[in-house]
Amino acid sequence: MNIFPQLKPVTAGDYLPHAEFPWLLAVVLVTILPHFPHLPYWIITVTLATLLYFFLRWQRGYHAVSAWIKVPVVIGVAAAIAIELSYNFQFNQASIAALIFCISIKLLELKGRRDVMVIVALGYFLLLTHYFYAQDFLTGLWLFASALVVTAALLHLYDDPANPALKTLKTAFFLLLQAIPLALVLYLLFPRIDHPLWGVHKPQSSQTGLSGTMRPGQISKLVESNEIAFRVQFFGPIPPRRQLYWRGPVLSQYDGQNWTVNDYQPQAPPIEARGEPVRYSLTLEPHHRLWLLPLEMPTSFTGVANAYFIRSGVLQSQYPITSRTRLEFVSYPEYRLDRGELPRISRYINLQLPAGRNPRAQEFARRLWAENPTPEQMSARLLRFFREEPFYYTLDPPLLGANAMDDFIFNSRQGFCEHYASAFVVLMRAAGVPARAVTGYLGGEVNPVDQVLTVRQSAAHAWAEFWTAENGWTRVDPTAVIPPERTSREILNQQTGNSPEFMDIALNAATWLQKTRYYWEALNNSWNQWVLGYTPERQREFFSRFGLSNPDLKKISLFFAAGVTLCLILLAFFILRKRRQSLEPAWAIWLAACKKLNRQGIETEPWETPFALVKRLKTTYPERPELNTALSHLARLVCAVRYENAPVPMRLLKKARTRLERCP
Amino acid sequence: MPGLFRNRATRPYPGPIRLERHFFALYILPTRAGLLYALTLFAMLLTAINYTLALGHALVFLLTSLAFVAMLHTHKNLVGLTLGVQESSPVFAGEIARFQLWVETGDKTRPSLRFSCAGAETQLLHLNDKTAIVPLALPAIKRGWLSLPRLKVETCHPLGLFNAWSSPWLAGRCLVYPRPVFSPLPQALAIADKGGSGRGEAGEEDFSGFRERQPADSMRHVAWKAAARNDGEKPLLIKLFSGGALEELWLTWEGTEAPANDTETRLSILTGWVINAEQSGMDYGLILPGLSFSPTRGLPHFHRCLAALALYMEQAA
Repeated sequence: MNIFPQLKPVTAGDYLPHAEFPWLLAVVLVTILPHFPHLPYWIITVTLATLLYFFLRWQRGYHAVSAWIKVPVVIGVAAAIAIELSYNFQFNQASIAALIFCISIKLLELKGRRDVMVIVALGYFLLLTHYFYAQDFLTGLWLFASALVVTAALLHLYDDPANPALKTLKTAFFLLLQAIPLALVLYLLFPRIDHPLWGVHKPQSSQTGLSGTMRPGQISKLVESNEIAFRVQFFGPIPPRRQLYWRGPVLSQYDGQNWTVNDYQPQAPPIEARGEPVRYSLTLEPHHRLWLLPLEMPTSFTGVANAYFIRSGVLQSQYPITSRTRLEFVSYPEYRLDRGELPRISRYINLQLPAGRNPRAQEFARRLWAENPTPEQMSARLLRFFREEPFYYTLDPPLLGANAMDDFIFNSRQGFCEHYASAFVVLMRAAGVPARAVTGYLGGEVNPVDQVLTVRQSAAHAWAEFWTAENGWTRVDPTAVIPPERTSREILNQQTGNSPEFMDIALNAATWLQKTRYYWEALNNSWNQWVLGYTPERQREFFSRFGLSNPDLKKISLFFAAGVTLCLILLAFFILRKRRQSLEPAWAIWLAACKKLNRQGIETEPWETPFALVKRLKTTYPERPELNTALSHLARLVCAVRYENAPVPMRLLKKARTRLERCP
Repeated sequence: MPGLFRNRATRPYPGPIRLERHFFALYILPTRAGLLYALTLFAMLLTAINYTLALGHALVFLLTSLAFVAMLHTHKNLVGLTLGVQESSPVFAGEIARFQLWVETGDKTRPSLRFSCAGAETQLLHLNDKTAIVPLALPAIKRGWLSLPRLKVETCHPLGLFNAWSSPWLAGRCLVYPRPVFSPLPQALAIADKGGSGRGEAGEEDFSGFRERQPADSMRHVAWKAAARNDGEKPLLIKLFSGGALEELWLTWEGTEAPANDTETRLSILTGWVINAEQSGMDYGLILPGLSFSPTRGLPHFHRCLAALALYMEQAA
């Protein structure tokens, strides 16, 4: 007698359906696999063995493992992790290892839904720990996918078990998709803190980058590194390559072997800006040092709260750059630095030479000075010397003796930029002209896709500066005068990267592989800028766009609360909105036909069935047989679709409607 | 706290109830799993802040937002659900009363709905169709009307982080007949105006078949010949007479030989008699203090009599 379908009831309770097991295995796998390259072998072995054991148990009818196995294993692994912690591990690694062990051993003691939630919570936490290794765009995508799997596993527990796995994934995907707008608001407005809450062991990774000292052979090591030092986005045309000198530490102290920094006076030198300014933003990769590497010569900057100039024209941050930092600069490529009077201390520092070293070079310099008695002439003469004598520019020069510069200038004549800068400065000083070496980067590679200039470690460079009263510090790049035929092939290959001049040609000439790389780097750069580079400074900048300049924590919190509330209300409206009743297409056609009849002056009633209407019209309008036949035909089709579930193609229905509408 | 969340209705509602977004109609609270989730997110946030993990922040905020989305979906899973209760067929005390809730989903799939009420086992259903029937089984202990207690409809779909519930009070009831006690039927009376022929002879002429003997059956109708043939190994059979209309049986309050003060026992005996009388095919009448049904047969009469027994002295109480 029952017209309703009887559903087989399922007893509710804390039972765990076996269909959930593959999901749990998937959760554990996606959350722990990316950790494997960073873990010791024994923990990987233990984890995989646990998973295999779980798999076998699941195949043979699961029951939770007994405490006799569980407890010794847990104690053993905990002890092993503790031992590793005291020898090899850092705290992070130990906690990750512990979490991974917990999540896999939990698979062996599943009893109810509660345990699934524990696995899911551990899984979410493990996802977070992936970011200890990398935070690039691909990691981001992988993590969204993993979060999807974990969420689907949780959803599967409460969803209709009749749904296929793909549908569960789809539902989870839509849930996550709906979560994105609010997540975005939270991301932008949540008050950011830039100092750690407790002690953090920053992994002392092998630091590549400038070191603040210069020794022959040091920069040539950097040239082999393809790591990115910083990225630059110009707000205007990109200056030509010959102006792209990124100023790093200035080295004035020479002991015969090493060049070191000898100027720490926190006092800005007089900088005379000339020509057109260049505005740009520079995103510095963490180098754990102080210098900021602007384009020569910066006059103003924003981005780091406590940055300052030192007397040698180097821009420094008060704290080491330990995270990716975005700065904005205004630089003048044509500048005069320290014009007029050089302070005595600076003059002294920049004339200093190690006593008794390099006698031949000193003698040579004095002889040249006698012929070229102005600093400009002297500099030009030295450059001519490097160009005309058989000096070679190579990545692996021979080792130099105790009088390194004598050795280089008169014997080996093979060197890298640090050799040339060093030799130039020594010779200038010997002639009595204040000079110093500058390290930094030269040029960069322009991505034709987003016009971002990428400066890699391989662009590290050293050049020289000498001082005159009239022009101040003048940049000289002695390496640049070595003709290409005396430059080693590796260096030539390095340098023919995309200099700004070749930019337009670059994208046209690029192979698809290069193009893909450009697009990929452009994507990664925007990812760095907008996702990873969202620091407290940028957040303040973001707030200031809403008229909240320099807000305190209270204001930020209010703003945060207001934004989140607004977003939640919108979200609730979106999710809980009433869907308009979607009409069956066949019925929609019938209603449209009825409306048409109404317009022709034929009344139809909302409660009238199609056949009732047909019957009534036959008696009231017997003089219109075509209309009656057409309507009857349409009614037949509509009822067939609506009540008999007949597979009538829409084409026929539409045709029947047109026929009805064309009736006289 | 329980008072705050109690449904404010003081009476069950007769018609179908549609769960709406009223105050005090739909509630939602985080579950224990939800609290664990919140705790995890908090730990994750601290880690993300401490190690300045930009993507860590993003993950935490995505999951926080996911919880809010899940909360809204949990709520949505109940909103617009229409509940009603079908007429349930009467049962005897000691049996299970089956209430049939009908649920209209309102053109939406509604997974993971749990229906429960005091005394009934919770039913978990995943609804896809427009309407569905939810059976709720309640033990019928006492005779009289068994009304459906306040229902609890819950869901924690999709993620189990929040539990939304509502406590509609539907006016469903099930008539519970007294628990039958089977004892021999009282003597039937011959109908005087049937021509004065002896009791029994007329009936015996219209022999219509056999049935198994029940304890209350008269020994006179036992098919002894059949019993002798199988040496008593099979249960005794009773000869049935279609001519039973000529007899009429009065089941009276006074006829029950129970102590006068025990109303329930008397009602139980009368119930047993009514069942036996209906089965034996005789016309039977029922006389209760202040109430009587003239002798006849058939299901309507049967149920009328049982209903009268079920509700005897009930309305007054």
